[in-house]
Amino acid sequence: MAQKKKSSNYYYASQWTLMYAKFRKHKLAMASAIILIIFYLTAIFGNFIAPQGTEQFDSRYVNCGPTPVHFFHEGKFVGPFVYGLQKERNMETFMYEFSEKSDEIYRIRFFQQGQRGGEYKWLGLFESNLHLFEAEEGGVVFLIGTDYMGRDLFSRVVLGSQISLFIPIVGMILTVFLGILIGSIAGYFGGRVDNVIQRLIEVVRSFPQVPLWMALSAAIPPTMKPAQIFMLMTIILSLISWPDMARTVRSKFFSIKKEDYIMSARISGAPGSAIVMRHMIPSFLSYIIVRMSLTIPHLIVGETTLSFLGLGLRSPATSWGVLLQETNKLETIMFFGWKLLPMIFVFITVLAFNFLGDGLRDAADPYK
Amino acid sequence: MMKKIIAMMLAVLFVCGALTGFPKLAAADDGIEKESPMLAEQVKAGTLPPVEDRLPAAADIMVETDKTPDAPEYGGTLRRNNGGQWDFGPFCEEPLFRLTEDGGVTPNVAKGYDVSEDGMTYTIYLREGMKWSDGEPFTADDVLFYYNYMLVTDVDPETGAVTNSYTGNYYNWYKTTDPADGLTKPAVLTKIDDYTFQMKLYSPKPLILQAIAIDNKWMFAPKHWYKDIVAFDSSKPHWTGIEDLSLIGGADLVDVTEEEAVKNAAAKSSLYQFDNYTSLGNALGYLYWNYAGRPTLRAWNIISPLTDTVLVFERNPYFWKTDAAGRQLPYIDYVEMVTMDAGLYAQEMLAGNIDMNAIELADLVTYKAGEKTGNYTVYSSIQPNWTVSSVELNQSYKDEQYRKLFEKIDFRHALSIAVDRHEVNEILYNGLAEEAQCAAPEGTDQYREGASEKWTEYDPAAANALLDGIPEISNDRNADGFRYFVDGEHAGETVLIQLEGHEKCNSASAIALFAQYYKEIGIQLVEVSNTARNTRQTKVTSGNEIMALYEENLNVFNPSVRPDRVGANRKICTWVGLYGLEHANPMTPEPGSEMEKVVNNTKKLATASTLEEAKACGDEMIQSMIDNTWIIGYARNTMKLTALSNKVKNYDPNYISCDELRFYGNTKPYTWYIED
Amino acid sequence: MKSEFLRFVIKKFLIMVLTVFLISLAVFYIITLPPGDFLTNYVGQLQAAGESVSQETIDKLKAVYGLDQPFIVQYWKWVTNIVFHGDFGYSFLWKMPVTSVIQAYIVPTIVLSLVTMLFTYLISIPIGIYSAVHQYSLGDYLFTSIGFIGMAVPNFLLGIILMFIAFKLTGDTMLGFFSAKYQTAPWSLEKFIDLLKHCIIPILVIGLMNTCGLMRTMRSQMLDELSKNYTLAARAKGLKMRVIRYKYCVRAAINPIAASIGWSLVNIFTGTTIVAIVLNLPSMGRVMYDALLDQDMYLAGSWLFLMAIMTVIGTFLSDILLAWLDPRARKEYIQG
Repeated sequence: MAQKKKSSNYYYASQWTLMYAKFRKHKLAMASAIILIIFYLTAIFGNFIAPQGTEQFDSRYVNCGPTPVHFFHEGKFVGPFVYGLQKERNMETFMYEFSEKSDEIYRIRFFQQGQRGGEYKWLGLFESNLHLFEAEEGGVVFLIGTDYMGRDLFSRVVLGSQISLFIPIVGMILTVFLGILIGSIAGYFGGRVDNVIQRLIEVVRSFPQVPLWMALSAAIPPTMKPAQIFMLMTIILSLISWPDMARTVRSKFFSIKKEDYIMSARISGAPGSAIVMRHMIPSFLSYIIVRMSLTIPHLIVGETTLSFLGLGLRSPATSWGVLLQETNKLETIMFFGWKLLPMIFVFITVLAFNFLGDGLRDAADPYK
Repeated sequence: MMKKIIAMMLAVLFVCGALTGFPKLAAADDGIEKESPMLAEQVKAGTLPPVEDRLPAAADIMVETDKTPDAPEYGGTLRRNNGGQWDFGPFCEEPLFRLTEDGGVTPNVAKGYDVSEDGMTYTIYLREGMKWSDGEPFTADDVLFYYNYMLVTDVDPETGAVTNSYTGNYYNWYKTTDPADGLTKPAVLTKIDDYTFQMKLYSPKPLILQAIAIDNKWMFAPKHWYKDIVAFDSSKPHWTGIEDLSLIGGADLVDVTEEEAVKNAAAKSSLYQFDNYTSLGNALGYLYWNYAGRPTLRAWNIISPLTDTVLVFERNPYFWKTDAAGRQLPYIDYVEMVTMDAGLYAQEMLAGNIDMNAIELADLVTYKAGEKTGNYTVYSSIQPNWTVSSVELNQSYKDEQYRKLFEKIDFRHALSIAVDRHEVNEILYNGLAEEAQCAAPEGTDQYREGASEKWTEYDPAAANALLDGIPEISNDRNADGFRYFVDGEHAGETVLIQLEGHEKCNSASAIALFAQYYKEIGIQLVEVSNTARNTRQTKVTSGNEIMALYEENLNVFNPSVRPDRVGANRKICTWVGLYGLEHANPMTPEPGSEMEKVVNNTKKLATASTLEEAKACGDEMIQSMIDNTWIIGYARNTMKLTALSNKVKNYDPNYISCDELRFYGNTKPYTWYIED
Repeated sequence: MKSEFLRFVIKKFLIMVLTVFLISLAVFYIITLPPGDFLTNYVGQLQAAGESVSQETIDKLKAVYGLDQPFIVQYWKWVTNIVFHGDFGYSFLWKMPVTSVIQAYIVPTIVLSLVTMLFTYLISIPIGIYSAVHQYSLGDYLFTSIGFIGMAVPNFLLGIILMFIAFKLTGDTMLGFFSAKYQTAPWSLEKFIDLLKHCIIPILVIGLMNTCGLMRTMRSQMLDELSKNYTLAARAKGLKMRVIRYKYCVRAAINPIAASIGWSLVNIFTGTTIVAIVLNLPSMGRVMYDALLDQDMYLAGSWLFLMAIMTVIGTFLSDILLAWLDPRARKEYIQG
């Protein structure tokens, strides 16, 4: 009986339930979804999780490696703490070198009021200086080291994710919107309209992205705020990437147009917009969702590349691309390897979105 | 330690009277190699005359006595970074007279000169038997042709102004005031014989040779090579009014129109495809060292097209200098300038793929760490640096409200003490720079006690108090945390300084840092040339477009010979027109202002007829810099750093590096050699 | 049948010409967007170097280059010169005709692009087939993960990391196309081998991003074909699996990939631009970058234009290839 109920559920289940069931089976996609949720939550609560604010810096801790978090001191458990740091100049290379002072212990405290400069306005609503963790007065905790200005990289990664994770969503929406709009216009009307749109698509598609952005970036007014620049960058990247979407939507339209149920809708006098919105778009919604999940990583990588080339954002604006700017120096790889760590966050995010897309693709075809 | 200030000798010892540049005779045949095997082979094959015939007459060879190594080796290739045309040009520049570190001049291409009692007639002697790199003789005609047909192509007889120049760059330093009519007119150059020419001024100008050594070091050009690509019209009288053209290097010229000149150039080489006569003149006449095939007097000449990523320079078989043992210089056969992204040179140095690189202070530790692996050494030389990281507020900015603010000395004072120079030093320069105001370093003639320390104490509270005292801007902050203008056109707007970054240096990180400090005192700072680096140049040109400028490596040789770095015609304050055009386009600052004094001194200097006068002008300009802090300096670096492979020998790091002394050219790269 | 194919080609060709015209307009618009123009920059450069330029000279140059004329006049001049004289304009930065600059870089750029493309297809198609045939095998997982790494690591970073690895392993950074020793040497077998060595990293970096996309497309196409009825029918009729796979399935699966050859050029050009900057290759990427920063508009524009045109031509060719491979495509096209 139970078996029968389950199978009848299966047959009567909505498309969404089926998709979800199938999606859950895709372990990698599920894991990715969880990771992405964590990342986005971290970004939302970024100012609280990051020990430092975007504008804090400290010349005493320039290019300092990760400070290990210890639990035991001389065999005795003292809870999470960091040792004090000793800074010395290597007289041969003139480089500063940091080492742990094993006699200075600074406990890590949780839910502490941060230092000056760590103040923030959460979601632009509540003013606060509460931080998840902080070393005791006099000690410093840099989970993944610091950059050339002595800024905590972990904080920068977290705060950078607020831009790098959210702005691509805007770009994605724009890409999808343009793709669907233009693709469906071409597909629905066909003929001359389609011809014009086809030319437009071909023209836009023929430009290589980076060189095109290079050309456009020269025209950006320099007084623009970082978030605006990022937004503009995303908008331009999406302006270049909609044609793929539009092409697919168009061809889907062509094939669906001939289907009987569209024909009957038309005969029964449904208006064009209703046919498109009610009947046609839902039929390839799954495809759109997949594309959405794949557009975001594309935009994230695009941003890192442009920022790396010096054509995007610049410090002190913080985004993942800005954090990777320092990687093009030999010294980073030679002496300050931890500066490559922000890369891992980009890597994980991009992979997660790809796996998510994969899972969605499988799930989108639940009857298979 | 490296940080100590290195004493410098830049005192100006104005050299007067005749210089005796006659060298010692080279030793007779003593069995040592007198030329590069590469050339010896060509001599053997009969494609090149023997070395004695290629060098000038024995008495006129220039001998590098003090730079002769014990056992130099001929041959090899020096691979170095390509710093662009203003780097590889000076690297092997051979001026008529060479500016010396003590501010005098010493013979180079010219072997000496006499100056008349009244200081108005200079007789300059050239080296007999000296040859261009293509083997053609170098004579006084080459100097006269350059001056009379390429540099000064036309002069307005009414005003004395130079109205046309083939090279596109005429130097006002050649002009003196004619007491007869009060006009300033270009000097007149005439030929005495093949190896002697005369320069006549209208009034005395004791610094004329320094000016030539700095500005028109290339005051000669191979006439035989240019004849058909420089327009000439025999029906038009020459601007000097001299009818005997052989006196001014114009004998045997045939008529060439501008169109023909462009065609002739294009026919000479595929590298000389110019779209018009102006760009032809500017490229081949002025920036000539970029073009393969143009005969020069340099130690090495470019043989590759500029589009190559590696520019190859080949030794000049007719180079006219020898070492004390009579070996023809240079020792090194080829110099290769390798173009790449600045960040990549460190890798290449480490891998031994390049032998030499000029490095920034910020990169010192990286290069030091790789010395052993890369088998190279980091050398430090001296640069007369006033500041390596500075902010200049444009005193002639077009927006009146901002300009009035910038004129306030309290505003500049506040910006100066709002920044913690120690943190700047630690963050941008690994703590290796000097935490100083923009001023001459100790040991130079321009050094003034206390100038380097002025307004350097970090004191944000005092800075805030200073700004509170300026009535034009608010004492409270707006929503973004900045001060705003209280009235006028910008009423209610944030006080926003748009700082023009610099493409060559890491200005972004410096400006980001300053922005955070300025924010503390309620001033917003943004970097302007985020992407289009040359918009900076555009704005610099127009003089009043840039609001503020980030400048690094402000090196000053001596304001009395070259005032543009501290004088009024500093690129950003174009009160008297741009450098070299002091008389052409004067702008007037407000009467009675501090800037007016600077402008007047700059003008006075250009026409100074005694040394004392020139020195006084320079001194006043320096004092004005100290009193007004026109340039707010946050760090100084007097170390010119070079990473050089250990196989390159005879490099002497004890020299002063600056534009006037031709950077590396000052340490005479043609005396370096490579040991295998 | 033959005339139908010809009609298809002609129609496609006319459309290509129209596209090129639209592209030229877009390119010219983009390069005139930035404020200022090259000339003022150029003059500024001279002054930055401590040299002087008079206003008369500036005005004269302005008139000569037609920089004082309206957009459409400048555009018309640009286009007609290209069409009738093969003259792409003058590069202010290099002080030589744009064609000379492009000539110096186009060969390495095209060779690099073509080799990368070849690499991309030669690697991705067999791997895609392998992954599909051996779905969920160790090899499939391995290639899929490599593909994902290639997709998730930005090109520039991959380039830097590979360069560093090369340095650690061989003591050479493998920058540029040649070692110092062979840079100016005449062509020889050793120089060629040196060139090949230096091409490994660029090809890997540029190719990887494309490869994994293609690999996955090929894999899913192949899986689709393998589960289609004709495969089942063929199998039921007793045909060997090998024959079915390689004679029928692969041919069918490869069609959409052939159609994408033209478009994949766009990605490769983007890749070469970035990699050229990171790995110091004498390809147009670097030159383009400098030209744009210096607002050398004719050079930048011409190069952008050429890249777009090459893509359009590539697409035109791949459309024809597809039509030739698969008659259904041209029929569909002509019928609309």
